[in-house]
This record gives sequence, C-alpha cells and structure tokens, in this order.
Amino acid sequence: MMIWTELSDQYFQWWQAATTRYLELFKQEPVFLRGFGFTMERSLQFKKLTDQMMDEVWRNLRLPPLEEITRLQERLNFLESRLVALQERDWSEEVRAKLEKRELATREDLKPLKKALTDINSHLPHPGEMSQVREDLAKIAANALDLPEELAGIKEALAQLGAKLEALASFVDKLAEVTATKEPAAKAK
Amino acid sequence: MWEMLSQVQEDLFKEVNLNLSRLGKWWELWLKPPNIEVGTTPKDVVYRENKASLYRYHTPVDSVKPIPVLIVYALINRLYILDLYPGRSFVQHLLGEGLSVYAVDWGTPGDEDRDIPLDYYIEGYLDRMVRKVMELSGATQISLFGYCMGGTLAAIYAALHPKRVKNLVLLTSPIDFAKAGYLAQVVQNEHFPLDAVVNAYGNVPPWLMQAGFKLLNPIGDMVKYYNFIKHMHNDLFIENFFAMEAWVNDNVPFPGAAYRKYIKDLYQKNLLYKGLFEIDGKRVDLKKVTANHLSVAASEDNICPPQSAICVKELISSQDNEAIVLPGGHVGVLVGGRALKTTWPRITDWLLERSG
Repeated sequence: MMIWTELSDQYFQWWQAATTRYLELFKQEPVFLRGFGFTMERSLQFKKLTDQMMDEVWRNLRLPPLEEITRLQERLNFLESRLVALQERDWSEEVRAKLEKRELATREDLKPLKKALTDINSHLPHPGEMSQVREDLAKIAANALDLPEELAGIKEALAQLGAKLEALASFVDKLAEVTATKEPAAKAK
Repeated sequence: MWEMLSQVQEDLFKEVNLNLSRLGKWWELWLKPPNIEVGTTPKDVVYRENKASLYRYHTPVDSVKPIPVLIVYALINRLYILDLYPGRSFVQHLLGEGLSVYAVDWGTPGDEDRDIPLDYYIEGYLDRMVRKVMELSGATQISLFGYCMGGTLAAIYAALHPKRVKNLVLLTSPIDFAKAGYLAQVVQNEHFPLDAVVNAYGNVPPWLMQAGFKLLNPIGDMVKYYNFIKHMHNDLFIENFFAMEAWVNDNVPFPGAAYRKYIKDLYQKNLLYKGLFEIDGKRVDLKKVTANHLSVAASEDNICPPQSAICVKELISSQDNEAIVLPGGHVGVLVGGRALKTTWPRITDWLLERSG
C-alpha cells in the first residue's frame, strides 16, 4: 500500500464521518426544517404569482396560456383512457354476467308468486275434507231438482195476479166515466 | 533509516506516476467521454397507454418458466436501472435463468398528466398491464417484482387482486412509512408545503425530488467524486460510473396528484401500514395478500431503511413468506458489485422455485 494513498484515504474517511455526524444533527434540527419549509413556501408563492402574470401576458397577446393547453391535453388523455377502457372491456363476459343477473332477478321476481301459491295451497282443504265438500255439493244439486216445480208455481201465481190486476183496471175505468158525467151538471147549478 | 527513506521515495514515485495516469485518463475522458448504452436488452412494446408502456423482453433461452415476471418500477427515475448495461443487467440475468420478463415503464409524465391519481396508476395502468401479461403468456397468475416505490405499488395491487399474483418480490420497498427515515421526517405536514408544491408545479419537478434525495446524504456527491478520482484508471469502474451517472441524472417528474396522495396518505399518515389506505374507494388490506412473498431490504439504505421494508412480512397472510436484509444501499443492492453475487442469485433462485 502506498503511504500517501493510505494517508489521504484515512483523512478522507475521518472527514466524511465527522461531517456526516455534524450534518445529521443539523438537518434534523426543527429550526432547519421550519426554515426549509418557510423558504420553500415563499418561493412557491412567488412562482405562482409569476406564472399568473405570464398567463395574463399570453392572453393579452391573444395566445393560449400554458394552463389552457395543458387542460386540453388533459382532456385528450382522459378520452384516451376512456377509449382504452372500452376496448379492454370483456363484452362477452359482461353480457354473460348481466344475463346471469337477469335470470337471478327473474327468480327473485317469482318468489312472491311462489309464496302466494304456497299460502293458497296451505289454505286448501285436505283430500279428506274434499270428499265432505263433494257431498255438500251433491246435496245442493239434489235440492236444486225441486226448483222447476217451484218456478211453475210462481208463474201460475203471477198469471192469476195479472187477471186480478185487469179486473181492477176495468173498475178504475168505470169510476173515471162516472166522475166525468157528474162534473158538468154541478157546474151548471 | 535509509530503508524507510527509500520506501518513502518509492511510494512518492509510484504516487506521482499514478496521479499522472489519472490526469491522462481525465484528459482522455474529457476529450472523448465514454458512450455507455443503457437499457439495451432487446424488447418489444406490447401495450401502451398515454405515456406508460409495457415491455416484453426477448428471451435468449429455448424454454421459459410458465409464470411470467412483471417488473414494476417507481414513478421517479427510469426503469433501465434494472437493465443498466450488458453484464450489469438484472433483467438479462432473469432472462438467462429461463424466466419470461415483462416490465412497466411509466414514461415521462407531461403537464397534462398532473391530475392522474395514484389510484389510476394501480387500478388503471398496472391492472391493464397485468391482464395483458396474463393474456400474452397464457398464465392465470404472474410474479410481481417491485423495486422501490414500485414495490409499494405491487404490494397494493397484490392486496387488491390476490388471485392474480402467484409470487410477490419486493426490493427495498417502503411499507411502514413511519420508519422511512429522514425522508419521512422532512415531508411531514408541519413544515413541508405539499399542496403548495403540487399547486405551483403541477408535476413535481425532478430537481426538487433530487434536492430531497441530496438532503439525505449532503456529502454523497463529494464521496462519489473522491471515489471516481481514486478509481478512474479502472475501465470497469468508469463504465459503471458513467452508466450510473446517466441514470442518476435522467430523472422524470412525479405526477402531481399521485405525489400528493403518496406523500399525504403514506408518508404523512402511514395509512397503508395501518390498513386504512384506499384505492378507488376500496380499502387496501395487506392481510389479503396470499402470494408467495420475498422482501429484500438493503442494510445501508437511507431511502427505505430495512425496518420500513421487512415489516410487510408481519402484515400479509402468505404461507410462503420471507424477508431478508442484504448488504448495500438503496441502488447498490441491485446494481452494485456485490449484488451480482448476493441479490441476483437470491431473488432468481427464489423465483425459479416458484415459477414452475
């Protein structure tokens, strides 16, 4: 090992370690960090103000400022992204998923109907009860056999009622004739 | 006595000669700076949206593992740190081992991208790219490899879409931002005018990001140039130095809206670690990550200190779950001289075992 190289290496390493140690302490000081933040904030405000002034200059020259060009490019990017998203979409998968969903929905729709049917079913008489119902129906039907005779009786009564009403009508006519002849004589007196 | 004097004389002579050779090299470099080509591994762009591109690297081997690797890099700096130059390319190394490699290049955002939220980078760009990789490779699951902030994005994605991610590798990726060192301290709400920065610049300019990183190690540049002078007669060192310089100075702006959310929700409120971070209205619960997981932290990392990265192991539900700390700094752990013998084989072996 060459003595000069060795010495310079040793010195450099010592300098590096000492400086690093000192800088580590310095850069972690809250005063440094606050100062760093404050300076940065002020310089950013200055930059923003300068940008606004430059935009005004461009506008006065009837030229679009950078801000507007950038916004336009942003919109183009957005459109590109939307187009890519549309291209990338797996339409067959989406249609399949939608159909599956629709089928599920139909099944869901059928649920109330199924419930109603179940309710009806639960309220229907049991097979044993059905024979009782049939017997009752047969009785009603048997009783209904006497119905025509009763209807004929009603017809006959109605016919008799018609003859009686005709007699009553002729009596009313005679009464009207009598009152018509007596009325002029009374007026003459 | 005479022996010592003659030793000093000999050393002095050697030293003078060495410095003369350094001077000659300096002159040569000044007249003809080396043209180091970076990111040279052949690749195709298989998907593009706005500025973001998805690369598929050409594989040099006949058969590749069925599970592809998707590399997700940070929104700052350039992707080619993973493909620096032949011989120092992590991408080439993965390809050579028989892995199929894809990578997300976020590109250079323009002013018009300032309102793109972090949510869209994950659920828009990244989601589409993951699906594209699955479509192209025919795989139903992929390996996500995230570096730096890219790892944070990858972990979030893995939590939102656990079924798509088979393996999750995070390299120096902050998860517990309360332990993210000085960077977390400097961006705290009390002194850092976050909204004013975003409102004034739209996208956060690279020089401002760089200033933040310089603050982490204020004498870093002096150390760098001291080492440069010391090793400048070494051609290999020079090649690496110039490639790294090209990358370090090739910065991109950080999209404004994404930066605002990244700093506010992660660095200031530490919501991801607390399980309260939201993307597109969906809560990101790292417990939902079930992929095989490997986290690699760097022992001398001051951007993402080890304790900020490896804690992810305790937050996820993966059965196959590992977190390790390897020697090196934030970048050195990936492209440093030691990385070729430590980080690269460690990650590749882990991936190969789980990509069958």
